[in-house]
Amino acid sequence: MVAVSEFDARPPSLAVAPAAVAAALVVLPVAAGSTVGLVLAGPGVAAVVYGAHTATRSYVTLGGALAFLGVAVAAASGLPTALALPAGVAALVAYDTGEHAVGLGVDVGADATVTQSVAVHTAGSVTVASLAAGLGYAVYQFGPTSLPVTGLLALLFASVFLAYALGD
Amino acid sequence: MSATTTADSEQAAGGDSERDADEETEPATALVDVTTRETNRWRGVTALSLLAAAAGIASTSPAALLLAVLGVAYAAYGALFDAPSPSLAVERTIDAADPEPGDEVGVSLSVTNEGAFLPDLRVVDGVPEGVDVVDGSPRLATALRAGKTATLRYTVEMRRGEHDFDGVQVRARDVAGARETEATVRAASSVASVPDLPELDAFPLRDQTVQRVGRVPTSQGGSGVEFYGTREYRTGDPLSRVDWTRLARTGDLSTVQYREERAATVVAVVDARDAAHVADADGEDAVEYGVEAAGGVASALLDAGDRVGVAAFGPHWEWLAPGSGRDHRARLRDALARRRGFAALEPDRRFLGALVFRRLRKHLPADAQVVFCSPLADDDAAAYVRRLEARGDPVTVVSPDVTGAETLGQQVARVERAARIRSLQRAGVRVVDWPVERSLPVAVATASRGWSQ
Repeated sequence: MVAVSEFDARPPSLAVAPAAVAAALVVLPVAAGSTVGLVLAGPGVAAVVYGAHTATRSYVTLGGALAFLGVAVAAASGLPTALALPAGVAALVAYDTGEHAVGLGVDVGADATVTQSVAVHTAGSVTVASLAAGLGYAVYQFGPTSLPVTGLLALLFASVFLAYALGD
Repeated sequence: MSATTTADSEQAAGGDSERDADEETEPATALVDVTTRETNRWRGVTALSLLAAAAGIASTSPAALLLAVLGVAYAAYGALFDAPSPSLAVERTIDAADPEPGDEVGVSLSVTNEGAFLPDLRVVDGVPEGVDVVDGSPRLATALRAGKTATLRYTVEMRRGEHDFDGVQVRARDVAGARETEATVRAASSVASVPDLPELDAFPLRDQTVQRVGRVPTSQGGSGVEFYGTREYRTGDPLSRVDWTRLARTGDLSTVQYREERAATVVAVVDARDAAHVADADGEDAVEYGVEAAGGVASALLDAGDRVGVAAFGPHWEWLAPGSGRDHRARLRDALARRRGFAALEPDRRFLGALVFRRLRKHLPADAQVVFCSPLADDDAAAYVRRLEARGDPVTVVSPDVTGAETLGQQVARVERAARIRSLQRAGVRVVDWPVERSLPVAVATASRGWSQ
């Protein structure tokens, strides 16, 4: 029998590529500013890429969470906002595209054509993250300076609950 | 015909080919078994953003707080979209009219989006179990705008039989991937490969007393070819058969008798039980060889004027009553190729041995000979042969040898099979031991040389 006929339940390399690029974009800014953050985020994104390549969903999920926490810790320990925000965006995009790759691997396997699906999904993910980051950064940078941090926090929690309400 | 279809499938692999009229084309739109579910892939992102916010508060770092905003944005992104409700038209094209087993056949599946934009659509074509995909993939993931068509192309290697393509599985996710809809699009099409019966010049049958004029020599005098004896002239004997020399010499009127040859009724029984589905070194199913043997035997005997039927002795019982003539030959060829009982697929039913054996005995005509085509891979096979022989049906076994000699287990299987063959031969059953790397005619010729000595 010809080897092609056997179903290879791993994503095509093309589907893993966005996750790998995003992983690199997490590591670079974090490495520039925070060792503690790197200790968390480095293995995190490595797990995302490995999990995406081998179609192991749990690695991607745990790795994604670890990477995001790593970036958060790095930000808390003094990473400049201009570096922390792109790293955060990259961590979420890495998880999103990595998980999408796992889904593709399970559903259509390594031999299928997936270009458009990957492109659209990655574009959606990057757009949402960039919009949120840009908006947040703009409010932070150019918003009323009189607004206390507690006000920002109140807004944040309100949006969290809004997200819950939408989710139900 | 096969030349054009092969060219077609080659073109199809490269790009759009011109479709000719031979192809089966069946568009389908109805979605069945639609289920919608949450993928839960954004579960926990809110918790993560709360953690980031906590880190931000603890360290009074605005950057960490902004990260929390990101998490919330994704939570909202995941909650924003409804599950897609795809509306698709599916059309499958098979580039072959009458493929031979082993031919490569191009299949293309076009999926047209008749509804709204689908950001993430996965399509899996229902390739039949009996064929192998040798090139391309029957699966596709794509994004499909309204009115657009995505086409996936792949090549399958044909095998004997009728192969039904199942429905197409589709799964559509929203752009955030939070909800997905799964459905099946009914798109039935089928392709059949009905090979000619294998060539076999002659197949020696057991001697027996039978009723119709034909080829099997009997121990009865009559109007045959071979000299049998003389007897006293009786009124009504044809003048051409009177022994004139003897009349001249002695004055007695006597009639020459020739050995009568009669047509046999033969049923080729293919062993298709679970135990017969054993693969040889190349991965070919022994039942495939069994069917080839049955086809060869039927072809040789039909040419010789015998009446031939076929039966599948397995969980999927099949029966084609003995007959002769060109129509019957076509029916037999079709039955061997298409019917489920003769397929080289693992049976999906339980085999009720006693019941099926009783059914076989009931169907066998009283004067029928049996050609049992079995790899003799288990003791039951030999037991069934012995029971048929004991009932008075002369049995000849054609046994494709698919055993190997590499591992200890294979050697044991080979020795056990040899012992079964010897015990059958001792019981008076003729066995054609057919090493599958040689051709069936050679095996039959070798075996019949042994019998005539």
